[in-house]
Amino acid sequence: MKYYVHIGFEVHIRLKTKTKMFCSCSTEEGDPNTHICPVCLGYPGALPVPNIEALRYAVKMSKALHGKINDVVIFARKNYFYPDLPKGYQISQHEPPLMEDGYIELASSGKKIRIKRLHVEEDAAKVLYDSSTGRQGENAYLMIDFNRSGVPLAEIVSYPDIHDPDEGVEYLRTLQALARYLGVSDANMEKGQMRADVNISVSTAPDVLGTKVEIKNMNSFRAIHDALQYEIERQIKALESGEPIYQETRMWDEHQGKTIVMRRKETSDDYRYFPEPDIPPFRLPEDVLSVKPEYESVHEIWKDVASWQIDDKKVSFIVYNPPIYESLKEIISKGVPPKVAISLYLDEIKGTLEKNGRELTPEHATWVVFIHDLLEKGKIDNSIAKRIIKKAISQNTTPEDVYKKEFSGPSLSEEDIRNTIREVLSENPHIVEKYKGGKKSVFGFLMGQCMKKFGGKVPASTIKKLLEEELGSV
Amino acid sequence: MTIADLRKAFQSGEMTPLEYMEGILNKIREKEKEINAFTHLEKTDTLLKEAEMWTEKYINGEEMPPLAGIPIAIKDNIAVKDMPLTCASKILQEFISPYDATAVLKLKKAGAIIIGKTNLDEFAMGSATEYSIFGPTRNPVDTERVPGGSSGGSAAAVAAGMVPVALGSDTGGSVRQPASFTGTVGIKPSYGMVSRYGLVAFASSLDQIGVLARNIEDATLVMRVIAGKDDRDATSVALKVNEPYHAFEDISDVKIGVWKEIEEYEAEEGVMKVWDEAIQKVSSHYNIIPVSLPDLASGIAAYYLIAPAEASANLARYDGVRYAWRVLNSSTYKEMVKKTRTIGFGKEVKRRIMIGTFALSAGFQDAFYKKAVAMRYRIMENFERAFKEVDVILVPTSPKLPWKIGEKMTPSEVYKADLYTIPVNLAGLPAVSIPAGKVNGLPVGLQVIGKYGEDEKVWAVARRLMSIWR
Repeated sequence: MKYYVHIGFEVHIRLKTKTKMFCSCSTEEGDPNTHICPVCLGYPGALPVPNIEALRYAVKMSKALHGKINDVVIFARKNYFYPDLPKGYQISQHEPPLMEDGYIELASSGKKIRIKRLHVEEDAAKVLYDSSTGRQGENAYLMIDFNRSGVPLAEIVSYPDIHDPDEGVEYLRTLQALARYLGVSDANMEKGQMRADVNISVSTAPDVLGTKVEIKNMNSFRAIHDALQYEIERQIKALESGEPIYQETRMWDEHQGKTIVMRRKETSDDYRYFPEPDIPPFRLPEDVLSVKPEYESVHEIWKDVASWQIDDKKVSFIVYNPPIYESLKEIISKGVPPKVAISLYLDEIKGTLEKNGRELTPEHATWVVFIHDLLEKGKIDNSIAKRIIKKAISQNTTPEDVYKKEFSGPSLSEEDIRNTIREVLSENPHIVEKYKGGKKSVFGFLMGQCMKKFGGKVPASTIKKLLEEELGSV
Repeated sequence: MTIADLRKAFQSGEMTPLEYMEGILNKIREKEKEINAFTHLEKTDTLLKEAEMWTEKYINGEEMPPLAGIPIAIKDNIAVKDMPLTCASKILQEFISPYDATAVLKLKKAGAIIIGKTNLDEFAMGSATEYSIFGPTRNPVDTERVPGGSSGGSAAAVAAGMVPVALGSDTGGSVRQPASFTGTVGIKPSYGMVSRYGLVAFASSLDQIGVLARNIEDATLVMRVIAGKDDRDATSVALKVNEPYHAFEDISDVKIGVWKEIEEYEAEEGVMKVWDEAIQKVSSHYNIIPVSLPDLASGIAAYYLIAPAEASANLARYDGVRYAWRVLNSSTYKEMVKKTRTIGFGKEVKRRIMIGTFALSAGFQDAFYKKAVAMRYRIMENFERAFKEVDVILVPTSPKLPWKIGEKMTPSEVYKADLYTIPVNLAGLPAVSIPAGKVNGLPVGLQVIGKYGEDEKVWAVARRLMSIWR
């Protein structure tokens, strides 16, 4: 029997605004309950006022997802009780959402995944269970940090167009990269800036969806992949043995490596949505409506990087790291060939920085351009380039500085170089004899002696050429 | 004596703010025990000190803000920093507001002295100020009777002379009806004119802060001080209001309408008698035009779905988690919330939460909430059509005279008594209730309803009518 898997995602990404969705509290991290006010604590009489910056980011993302923007924004109340929800309702959007009917092209394959909707809403507070008192489960004491309460989120809901765990992860990585390229979110999963719930069903016919199961509590791409893999196998096993599959919400248990039933749904939740009376429907301001996304497809970026003719792993690394891709584009636009750019920027500079416990910044792109210029003009060779980079990093300065101080000096004339080479030859008459006698392998030794004398200030290629000439004339 | 007169007296030295405050405090000492208008009074020392400060400033001849040294009371569902904000509910009985409502902030900037918080029906849900953990407020006109509600504490405080002016809130008539019951003036502004920031929400799309005063001049003055668009309230609008002491608008050619269908929805006999006489008197000055508002009576049904629906969400925040009072010794979050809300809310509040929750439920929302919203639009259209013919419409404020405290009425009887006030909230219009006469010593108020945003005109007409009826 062949089985057909359908996977759809509900992804929340935190929009990168300075202030919260409906009040002027900071969205920065901080000690618990330090970025709070009557509005985000749900105090009596406090009122929400929408953050237009959040909508600007959401519109940008919506446009990059090629959807239809509803230019009249309608917020709605989603009613339910939970300790992390200060007002007893979440201000969200119901019908219509900010954006409908979009799509995203998966980064590598370009396969289109349809996006059902994107809407804007406020985040809930963060709940910590204090089990130190010995009270467990629903009896445990709760500690609530309201810093997160009211932070703006965009919820992006896909159609079940995804058919296996790898594709699922690629979808999420593409979405994450897009949000980062647009600068609308840092979308860091570990920091909770990107959270994904997944719906999965398995059926025996390609066009029919099986019973929908929702999985929650996956905090990394790895966990999502594993949970999907587990769930597909579980459902196939159930289908094969004729056991029922329930419509339910399951939780991924990372330690046990399996999904566990959280709650079974007899009926769908009734959130009693109704239009938020505190925020009358309003038209998006013109400057928000006219916002232009800098990128519209991560797949286009993938194709661009793939054209640099590097291996797939490197392509993926670059595509999913927007600042690196952007820096490389910048470097390449200054005339540096892609391969050289990657080798210097990623292998040399990034590698050395990381060994020193430091991080690559876009500023390091100027290093590459500078060094490439020296290489082009023959002023240094690759090994000197590497040494300059190492020194710049260890001395916490720039390659320009290192080069000026240590490698440029008053430049030596060809005659000066020849004189030094002649010195080396006269210091090593036996070796020269051997060379003349046909033992060409000693050339390396002489070359090494010369290099030492020049201390790296003369490119090896120049030394080699002149050494050969001198040996020929001795 | 109007506030303008008081101000002149303060400026001339005929009376000082301190002397006036002492008089007010004496009045409170004399009356409050019987009336029970207040849920909280500021400390006497603090009040006297503030009055003394204004006295000195007047003596120094400084430039004075419009309400310098004028005492004012605030309904206890409006936030005043560092004062209790109880909404007359057990669930908020321990709550002290950490901030000022925008309207209160404006009053403070205008020099007003906040003397305390006034009683109300729990969360402003009621028409008699009987549903309060502080006990009922009595009507100063006849202390056996209710002062109306839900702003009954503010109305009674003003009527008893315990304060010249007070803020109330009006969701379905809660400023106008108590004004009618106590013989005072009650202004309900256009929706959006006064910021709701700091007004504890009952039904957000209907709630407005209003003013109760002894005369239209004082009520208008305070309205002008608290009006204005506020960045903290997305529903607030910049509507036209004059400077505080600006003259009233010229209304010599105003077209006055009366609700044609009132014959089908008559008030009780005494009210109709005052109504007929009042209209009679007006007709010798103005041509009275009957206007048809055929759907007005459906307002009650629409209102008693929309308001509870919004309330069911607005009151969800009182879960005992973050502030105020909670039931202790619960073993789970669910149990704590359940117990806190069961014990913390009164019967009427719970009734409305249940109605509202039901009206919004899947499967019922189309039949109830959405139909009610559609009816609301019909009522708006009724008014729009009528206002093509006239500038203002007159309607009685309440079909009933103030009833006896404790009198048995079913909820639907009480709800029906809001017949004349509710449509105004549904349409977001400005209205004023002014005393038009008395029956057996009990005051009867009539309403002047105006076009959206034409509050100044409504106030001017109200003033003119009061002088005709005097």
